[in-house]
Amino acid sequence: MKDLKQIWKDESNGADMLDQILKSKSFKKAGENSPLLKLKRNLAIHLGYAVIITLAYALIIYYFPYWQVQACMLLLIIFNLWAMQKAYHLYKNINPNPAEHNVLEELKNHHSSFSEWQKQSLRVALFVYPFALSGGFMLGGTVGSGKSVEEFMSKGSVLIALIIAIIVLVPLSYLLAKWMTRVAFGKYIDQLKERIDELENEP
Amino acid sequence: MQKEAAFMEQIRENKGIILKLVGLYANDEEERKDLYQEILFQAWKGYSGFRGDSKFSTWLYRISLNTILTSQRKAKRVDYRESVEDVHITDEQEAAKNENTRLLRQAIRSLPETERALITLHLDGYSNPEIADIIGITVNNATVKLHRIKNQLINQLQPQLS
Repeated sequence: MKDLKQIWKDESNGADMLDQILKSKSFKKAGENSPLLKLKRNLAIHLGYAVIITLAYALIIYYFPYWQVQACMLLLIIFNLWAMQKAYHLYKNINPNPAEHNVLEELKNHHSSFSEWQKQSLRVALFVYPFALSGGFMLGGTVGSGKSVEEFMSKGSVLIALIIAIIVLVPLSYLLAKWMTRVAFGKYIDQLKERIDELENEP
Repeated sequence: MQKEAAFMEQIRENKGIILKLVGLYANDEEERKDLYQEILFQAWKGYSGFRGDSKFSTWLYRISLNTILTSQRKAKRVDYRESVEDVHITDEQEAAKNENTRLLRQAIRSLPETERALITLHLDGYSNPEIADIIGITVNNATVKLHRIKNQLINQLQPQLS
């Protein structure tokens, strides 16, 4: 083993590239590529959109005096505020500073943040989409037909269409959200879990 | 300015840590460059918080490992080989030395990612309690794992090393 330590001392592959980076000090200007920071930026953007969307719901409540639509929008605002509070909590807790933790803590820190983000995205898909769909359906129908919500919804076929839309589109949206979070960070979350298990597994 | 000079000085003295670790994980030149940049960026960002409670090399090791093991790298496993400019072979002895380090690097690269971290720390002279502290596992776990990894490497390399 002493021989291997000696051999390891001679390793200097890639020194030219590192010297060049140090000489140019380009690392100071380089954008941070930490996945955790990317997630933090992503959450900040989502929070921004959530605020705008919540304001839009409030405007709908103000301008469209149909209690059914208003009830849906009010529920959406409540869910949005709840989701925003959860997202903000996650945002505040993300601390991308690799100097502060040991390797296992850092891996767990990344894993829990990304898993929580994934859960939040799915919760939003499950709780927000049915009400957004119902509200949108009724709003679109009343504006398009020029009738009141009661008149528009009084037809049995319209009610069935709404139920079918909810039955088909909500699970579809949920699966789509699940697929999108898998594509974005699924493999990465699996990798982190694998590394955590490797380290925690006592031989 | 003084802070920057001190940082650059410390990094130059310890650049071997970054070189060795990135060499074990990067799959291609682009990834290698990205990891160098990211580790240096993280080290520079965290430098003001470095109180000197531990050695700078240990602190840099921690940052490098944390940055590498939590980075989003390509999943494909390409056996990265150094470019021709990186290799300076002057004589036979030097050539044998280079070949040995290449073989060792390749053998370590064949290990799972977390085991690469453990064996590198060991080869760089860290004690088992120090390794356990940096990685965040028990001393017993580190000792058993290292024993197994060392045996595996020795068996794999003994017939090949010159």
